[in-house]
Amino acid sequence: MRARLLVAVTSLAVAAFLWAFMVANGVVPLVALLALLGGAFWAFERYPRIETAVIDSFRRARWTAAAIWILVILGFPFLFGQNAYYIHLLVMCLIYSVLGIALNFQLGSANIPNFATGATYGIGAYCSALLALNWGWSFWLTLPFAALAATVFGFVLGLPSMRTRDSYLALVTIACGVIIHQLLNNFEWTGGAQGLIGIPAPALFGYSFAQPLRVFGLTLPFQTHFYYLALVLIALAVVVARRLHHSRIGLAWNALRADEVAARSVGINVVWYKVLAFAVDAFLAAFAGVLYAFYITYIAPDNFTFLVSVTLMTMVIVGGMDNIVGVIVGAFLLTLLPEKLRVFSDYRLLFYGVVVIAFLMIRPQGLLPQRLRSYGPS
Amino acid sequence: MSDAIFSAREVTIRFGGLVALDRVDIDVAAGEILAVIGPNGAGKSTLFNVITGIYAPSGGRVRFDGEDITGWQTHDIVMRGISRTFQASRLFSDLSVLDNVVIGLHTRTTTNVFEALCLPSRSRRELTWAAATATEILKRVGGDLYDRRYRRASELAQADRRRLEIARALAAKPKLLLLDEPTAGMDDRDTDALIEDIRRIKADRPEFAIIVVEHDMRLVASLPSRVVVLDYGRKIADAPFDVVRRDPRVQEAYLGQTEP
Amino acid sequence: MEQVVQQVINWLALSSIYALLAIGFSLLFGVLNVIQFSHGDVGLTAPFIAMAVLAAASALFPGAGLAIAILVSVFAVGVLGILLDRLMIRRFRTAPPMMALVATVALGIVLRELIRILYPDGSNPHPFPVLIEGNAAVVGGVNVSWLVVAMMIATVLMVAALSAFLHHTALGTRIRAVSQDLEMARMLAINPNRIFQVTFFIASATGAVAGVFYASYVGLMRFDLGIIAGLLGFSAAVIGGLGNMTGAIVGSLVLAALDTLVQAVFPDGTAYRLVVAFLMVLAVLVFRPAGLLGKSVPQKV
Repeated sequence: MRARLLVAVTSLAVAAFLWAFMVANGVVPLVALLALLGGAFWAFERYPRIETAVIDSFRRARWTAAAIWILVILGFPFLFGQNAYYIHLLVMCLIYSVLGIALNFQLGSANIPNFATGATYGIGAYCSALLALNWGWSFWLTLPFAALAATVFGFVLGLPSMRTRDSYLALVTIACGVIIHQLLNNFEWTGGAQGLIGIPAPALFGYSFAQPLRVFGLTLPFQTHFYYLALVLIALAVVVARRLHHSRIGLAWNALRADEVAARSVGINVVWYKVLAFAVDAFLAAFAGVLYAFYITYIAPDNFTFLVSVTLMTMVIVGGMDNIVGVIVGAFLLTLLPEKLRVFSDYRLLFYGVVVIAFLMIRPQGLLPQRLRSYGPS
Repeated sequence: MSDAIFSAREVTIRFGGLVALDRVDIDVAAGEILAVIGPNGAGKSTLFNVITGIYAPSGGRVRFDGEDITGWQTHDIVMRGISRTFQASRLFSDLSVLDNVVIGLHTRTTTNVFEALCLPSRSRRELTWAAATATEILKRVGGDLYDRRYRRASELAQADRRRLEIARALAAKPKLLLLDEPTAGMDDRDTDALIEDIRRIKADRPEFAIIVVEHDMRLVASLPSRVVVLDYGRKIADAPFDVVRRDPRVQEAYLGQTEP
Repeated sequence: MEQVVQQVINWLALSSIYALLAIGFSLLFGVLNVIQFSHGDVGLTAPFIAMAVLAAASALFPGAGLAIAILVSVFAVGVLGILLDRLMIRRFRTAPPMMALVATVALGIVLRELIRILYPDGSNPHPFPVLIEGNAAVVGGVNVSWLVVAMMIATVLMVAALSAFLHHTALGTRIRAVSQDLEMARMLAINPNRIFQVTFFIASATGAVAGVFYASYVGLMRFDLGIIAGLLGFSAAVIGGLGNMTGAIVGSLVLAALDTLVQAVFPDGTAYRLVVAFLMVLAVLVFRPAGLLGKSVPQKV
């Protein structure tokens, strides 16, 4: 009972915080909210017992937690009524969460640097957009093809990891990311720097996602469709992540994160698992890219730069490596933060950089650090 | 030796101008315990790195269990049945003690990425089996590894780290186990316990062979059936311990230095 | 013929800029084992500092204003390097390499933004004066400007000086000791923190010279040029072999040659220069992971 209560209080507090953070306007409320967040994590750091108690209660009252969160997640757009901007922010948070989860396979589970997730995301987006614009394929049909193309790219990107590691491998991925960005910028058939415009909105059985959503006598902005679509995608990403994490594959990735030589010496084919991490990352990132392309209806190379990849790396590190909830928290925080920092207008990116560095120095294990696996009742 | 499960012939390895191993021959029969001793820098750890495919030899052949494994990838060699521990223990320190052993079972599990994604119940069953097997292994090795199975490996004391490394290596059910200075950093009591552990493992599976690199003379005197002495990358003796320790060349190279 | 000579001149000019940046990357990586990703941005703050102090310098030293301003900027950037090390980068030395990587990338963002905000009208490009006006010689019908000559001479001199410093002074020897084996150096009672500071000063000041040359060579400075300059300098260092001075120079020559060639031969070459440069980096990393001059060291087990 106590566990359930704690779960309910924490969950609603988190949801309320998210809502307040999103609608906060002006410097004072924003600073106050950030201070509150900082205070919470300071308390976690100072009194680990709080953290343990919360985690423990979520483990014990997991059905209560699930029920509360399903309600919160499904109902969240209704809190914002007609305001399309907030729903848009939520959709972007979800897309970045998917990308974060994708990158987490490498960065979090296996500790492989990848500064090219932005590029795989772009390949997914461009692939689907080109198929839709040139051949009139529907959103649903382009999804698997874009994912396939990106996965192939992921494999290719992963191949140099046979011979390189750490900083050198980081450079390989940077190089690939920059090359893809430059090619998208220069090719005529990708629309050059202008990119591609007029990507048709997805439709399901003739029901277009571009119209406002009417439910329970309420009218919600059309973005709400994409919110729910992104939810499906993130659910898929979470399922993939969990299944891999709780399998021999997740263990092998963790092993090579901890010590590559030792991993080889227990019989793990290190090269294969590295390449696999690249491929899985690319697969999920492509999904996010397709969703983005069909949501924004307009894509350009500058949506998929090196900086996007850096942002993603930061999300995973700040949120917590190898912790799915942590990665989602990181993605939400770092997607919303730059938007909210608009009140600092010109100082936005500066603040962003400072916040990232501060995070890395103060809580390097991330907001929600990785947890040990448990096998059944212990 | 015809019944050798493992044999190295004229194994040579050079790093630039330095010859770390110079035409070394080593045979191990099934069920045998072989000790490799020698002063620091004699090439003992390098020998292990060659056997397990971490270094490719510059010359010579390595045969194991009827197959030429020279130049094989490490993971293929492990799959074939050779496991090892490291001199400076290399645990997966940010994972739990249990996970370390579960990962040691990697070669005995088979789930691939599609099965993990599409047949979660199968993958979960396999992991449950692995966890149960790993728990059994932890119970059998001494120390309080079993009680600490849900702790991080980095929290273990030195002796337990050694034990965990051995447990992880044993999880793969090797036919040949390579122990690289298992008693380094252990006191006498821990060493005795370790000798007991090894005897028990041997009693369970008599056919299983061990090569142990060791400095501790008590362990070398009590366990192995045979001792190989390396000095400057060359094999200078290969005989039972009682013979080896009377060999003047060995005394000069090794024993004279450590036992004043 | 004139075409060829012109391209050779371009090649040498670019090489010297890349080399000065690459040396910094190599030095920092060798000593700290950290890739200072914002090294390009650090270097490219120099032209802005120089322009900021130009008016004052000209007033104090009529006739030598630009030279003084540049010296001040190079020194200031060296100090900036020490500051960054003390405040931040030092803490990431023992952290996982990924942390250091992301942190220094974020540092690059901060530096760029600081320039943009602090320098008047910083979002827009500003002209940067040519350091030395006029032409030194005419080769094959092509004017060779004093600037390019000066750049090459300065680069050669700096490389020679740095090499002499590293090999023939006590401090330089200690730097090399730390770069080879930090633990060993500690046992020899070398204070690593001092070594890091000196290294940071040298690397950043060298980068500053590269930054000034770059701005002067293209005639303008922009707050975000540091990222590309940094990537190219880093690539040159990797192509040659990180942590190896000769490698940095060879890498720069190779990368600059490729860069010049692509721009000269292909009609749309400028658009593809980064693509070609990074394809080269990829090829080197895949086929010679330790770089063209690097020795591959067996993995320590």
